[in-house]
Amino acid sequence: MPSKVRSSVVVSFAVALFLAACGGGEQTTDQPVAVDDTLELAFFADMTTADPDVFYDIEGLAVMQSVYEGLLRYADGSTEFEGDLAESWEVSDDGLTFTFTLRDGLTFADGSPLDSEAIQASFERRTAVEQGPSYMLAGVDSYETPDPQTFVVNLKAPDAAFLHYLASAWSPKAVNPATLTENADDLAQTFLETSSAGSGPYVIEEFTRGTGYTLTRNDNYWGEEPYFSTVEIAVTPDVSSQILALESGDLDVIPHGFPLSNLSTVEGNEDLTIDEFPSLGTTSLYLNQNKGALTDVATREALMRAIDIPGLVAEVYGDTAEVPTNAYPTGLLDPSLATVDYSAGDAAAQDALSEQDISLDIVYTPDSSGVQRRLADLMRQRLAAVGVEGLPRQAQLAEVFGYREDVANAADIYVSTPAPDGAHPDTWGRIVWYTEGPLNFFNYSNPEVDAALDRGLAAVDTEAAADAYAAAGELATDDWSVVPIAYVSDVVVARADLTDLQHVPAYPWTVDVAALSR
Amino acid sequence: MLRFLAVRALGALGVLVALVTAVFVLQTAVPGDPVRASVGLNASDEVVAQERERLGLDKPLPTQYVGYLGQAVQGSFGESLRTGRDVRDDIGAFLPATIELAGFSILLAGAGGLLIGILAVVSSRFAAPARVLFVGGASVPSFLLALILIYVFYFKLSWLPLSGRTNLDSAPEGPTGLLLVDSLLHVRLDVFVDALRHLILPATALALVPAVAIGRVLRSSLIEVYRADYIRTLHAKGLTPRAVLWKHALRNALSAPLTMAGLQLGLLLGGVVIVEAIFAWPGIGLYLNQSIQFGDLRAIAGVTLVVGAGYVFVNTLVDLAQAAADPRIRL
Repeated sequence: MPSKVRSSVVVSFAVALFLAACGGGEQTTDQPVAVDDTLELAFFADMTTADPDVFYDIEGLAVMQSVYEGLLRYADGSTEFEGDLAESWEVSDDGLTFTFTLRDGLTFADGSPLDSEAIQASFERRTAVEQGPSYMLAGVDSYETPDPQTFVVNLKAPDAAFLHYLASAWSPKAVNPATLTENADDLAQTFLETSSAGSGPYVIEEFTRGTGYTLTRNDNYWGEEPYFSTVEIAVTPDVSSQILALESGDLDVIPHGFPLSNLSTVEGNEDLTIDEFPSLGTTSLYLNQNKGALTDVATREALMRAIDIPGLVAEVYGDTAEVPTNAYPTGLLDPSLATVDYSAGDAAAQDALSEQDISLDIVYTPDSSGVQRRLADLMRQRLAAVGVEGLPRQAQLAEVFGYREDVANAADIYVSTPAPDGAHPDTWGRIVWYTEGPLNFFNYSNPEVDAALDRGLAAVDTEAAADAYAAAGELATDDWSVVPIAYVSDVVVARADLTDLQHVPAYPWTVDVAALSR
Repeated sequence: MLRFLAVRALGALGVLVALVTAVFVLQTAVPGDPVRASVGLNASDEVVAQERERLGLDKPLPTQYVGYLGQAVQGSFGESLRTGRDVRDDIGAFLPATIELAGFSILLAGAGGLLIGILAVVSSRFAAPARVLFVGGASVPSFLLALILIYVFYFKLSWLPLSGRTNLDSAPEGPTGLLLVDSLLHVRLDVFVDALRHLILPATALALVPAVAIGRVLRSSLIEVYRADYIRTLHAKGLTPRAVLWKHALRNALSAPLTMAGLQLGLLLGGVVIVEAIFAWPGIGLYLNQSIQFGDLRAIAGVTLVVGAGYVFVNTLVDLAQAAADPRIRL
């Protein structure tokens, strides 16, 4: 080929590529779907699984809540129960028997009827799969299905938190028994990892790891038809990319992780709205009471008073969080019980701190909003003012979960924002205070706290239960080992044309997708 | 040649075993309980213990290490803590996207480096801008360049898409996993164009620094070659400047840039982890990014092995290319 001809071909190809690549800024699609009929969401990370009996993360709840349903749920913006699949329910006087009456006309997404036997099969599957959320049914003695619309659960012992487990974001969900039968060899775990078999307003149409998920409307849904026919969820780990996509209109909502320091940049943007919804997420400081100066409760108290918790929270969160009123996340216990007091300590106690030559390893786990890092940094500054050295550093979650094995060599303070599984005091106390509780990172143990929590759980009388949980909260507060410092809100930034944003405090980082409209 | 390839293969094996060993040693140095992190925050101790036993993570580390090497020889990297699937299958699903991105970036870097290096020598008008580019281009980290490109070409100009590999629902999924190639094999020009539009920003973010490095070295090599007596002789014999450049000078100047290209590949693969996260590019960089946050050792080790093997493979190709370009080099 002559060189001139060859050059012309190369140049023509390059020009064609450039024009093709840059020609037009519109996002092309070969599906004739109206733009307004599709909701665009983003997740910061891949879902580990879509199996409702294995899934135990927070990112991904928007999918699970849209695809599956349990017996109960919490009402919008509330910690009060409302029926989901159950129309009504009764609890026996001894607190051992729970009788649920299912709604009329329930069906799974494939049109098959959803009855009490299907619920029983789903509950039994959760126990058999034996993954993270299986503990919710560990106290069940037996099930009964006297008729297709009545489902009875008999407990081994009273459990004051049981209804809250059933309303939890990770509650036992109804899974189509036909799917379980067709995939019986592995309890349908392989199938349900990337597919759905529920009764919710949407079904999983596509589940592509690393890329995203597509939900489409469930045409056999028994309830009100959702506004959006399709929900596209893209895995977008970078928050800056999410913000630019939101501002460009390629994303409809960022339900969590929006950097608080950037909120002011979108406040004047007429195309966007900012909503703050109360959540059960409670930023807490875990103090390693097994190490050095922190073994002394007076020192722990003096340190916490020295950092000026109200000032710290105001500086980091602005008006998106409140200083706790009591030892539990907001709404779990009467605010007048187990109250906390974070007033400044006396000068003598602060002087004593500077004389002890204290150096603290302060760790935080990464979050896209950056607040935990900011909290750790500001704590360092405030501790320095009283002669205490603080060394903030980021740690991965796996490291933090290893502390329990070797508390003597673990960090000194851990900044975290845990959220309980439900809106009951036991779902908090039993995980953060109880001996060997799953979020009891530094092996805090007070037998009196354990006993009070056990009393509360077994109490059938609500007042007796509240008294027991108040006692547990007061004892834990006096120990200054787990210090709740902020009731955080879920800050949701959305396109202004997106309406009907509904949020439940116990369902973190998500809005009710089926309730949204334009 | 065969002896060279055999030596390289043995060397690669040693490198890969060393990489896996390093990852396992790191696991002992870094405290943590990834199993508890993977089964969920509130999972009971019984569930955690059961999961640890099922995955074989309750065994001593040397036993795990030997078992892992044995599995790797058989083509399995074990079960990922995060996804619950064999890491081999995960990597198989994510790798094509990275190969496409890295391959396109290498082409861009090579072509860009060649262009910058040559222009800096043969064009007096480009000499000053080239110096600025050499300094500025080498100073901009890939993540910053990625954010600048997104802001300009996606947010301000709306010319190019922000994230992912394609917007088309019906894009072909095989046979190679490389969307550009598969779209041509399926005669889907719309997919080809869409995939190309998605590739441009992340590939440019990855390619700029290597392109500048290659261009800089090429410029120095070319200047040296142009000072040689034989080039003066070629000019005296009446060869056109273009013929002198393309037929004689460039070939003799390519050895050092090719070496630089091989070295830059390592940096480019490192940059993939960040750039894929920013552009939500579903490759092994994104997979590794999420695995690190989970402390998913098997996934990290698997990706390390594959990237290490890729690095050794491409550097072998660079050595072969050097030998082809410069007859003085013997393999």
